Amino acid sequence: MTDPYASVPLPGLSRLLEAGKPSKGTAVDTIVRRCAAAGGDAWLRLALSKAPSGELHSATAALLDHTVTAANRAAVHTASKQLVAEAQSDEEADRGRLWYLLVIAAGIVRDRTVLTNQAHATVAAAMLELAPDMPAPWNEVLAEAALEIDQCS
Amino acid sequence: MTSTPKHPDAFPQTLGTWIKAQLDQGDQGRLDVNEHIMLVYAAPLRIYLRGSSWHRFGEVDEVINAFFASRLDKPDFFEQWQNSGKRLRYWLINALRFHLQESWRRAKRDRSDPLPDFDQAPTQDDYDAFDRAWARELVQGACRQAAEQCESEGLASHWAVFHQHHIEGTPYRAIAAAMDVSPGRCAVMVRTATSRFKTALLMRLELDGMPEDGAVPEIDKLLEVLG
Repeated sequence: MTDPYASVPLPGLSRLLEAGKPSKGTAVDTIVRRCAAAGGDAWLRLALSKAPSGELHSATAALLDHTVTAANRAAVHTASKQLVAEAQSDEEADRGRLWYLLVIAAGIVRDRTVLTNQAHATVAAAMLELAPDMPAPWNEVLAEAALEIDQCS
Repeated sequence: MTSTPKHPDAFPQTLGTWIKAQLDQGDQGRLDVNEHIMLVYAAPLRIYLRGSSWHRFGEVDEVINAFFASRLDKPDFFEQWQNSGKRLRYWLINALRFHLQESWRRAKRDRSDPLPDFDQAPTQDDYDAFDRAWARELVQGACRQAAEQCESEGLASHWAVFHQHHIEGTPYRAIAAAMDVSPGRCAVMVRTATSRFKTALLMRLELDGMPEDGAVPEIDKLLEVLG
């Protein structure tokens, strides 16, 4: 039987090494760990209902509603980065990180705009890692956004 | 590495720990250790040897086989490595050079005609060529382990998504469409397979002597030599 791994081409080797990097300490890793920790469900419910500005506003309404414009999403993107930078607690910083990823996903799905300069492969990998832990509709929105910007070919 | 447990959590953290456990089991354990070393390091050592000044000293496969035969059964071989503080792969290069120097001295004694001196210190290019070959063995071994594990857990389709994307270069969108799965389901499959692969890759890096939390710089270094 042929060994399918006996001659992985160079681009495949590089992709695999990138995929093999531990995600420990990344934004997604901290969110996934917080969701999995005791009280994670309650934290996630609260985080999804409180915008980076501090207003009680669900992420779905703030980012996916058809009345929300690209400019609205860009403003949330800026606010989420600000929240991460100026957070008074780890929980608050993680809420900022969560909204940061959600608004980027919403921007891709709704506006076909990628609200970050990070490499698309990095962003797509982060979204695919986070999606399984998110409730509907965010599990599908994050995954859809990842597939949209995935440029592996 | 026939006695290696399939579940990654069952792997000890360092090669030293694993080797000690294997050696404590007697002859079969020793054979397993030797098999692992030869499986992972033979090809990179052959490439190193072909690129070095020693390649004229003998047939490469025979030299590497003789090296393993002369060193792997030494009782203190792995203890010496652990005391060296080096990555196993670089320590093996040094051990190979010592083996070649010994062989060269013996051959010189036994011959009447002059024998050229082949020994030259390895250059950075030699180490880079070795690391490229080792990176290939590392990744391929991690793929085999992760694929086997996914298969044993009934998650072969999860691995298939990972394989098609990372090895064959197929976009996730096309894979999801061909498998008739939603993007959300695709994400679950990707995360599961990626997690198994990361664990297998990390274990192999740790077995080589990588320090704890050193995976990102180690992988970056390998990516750099791959170019």
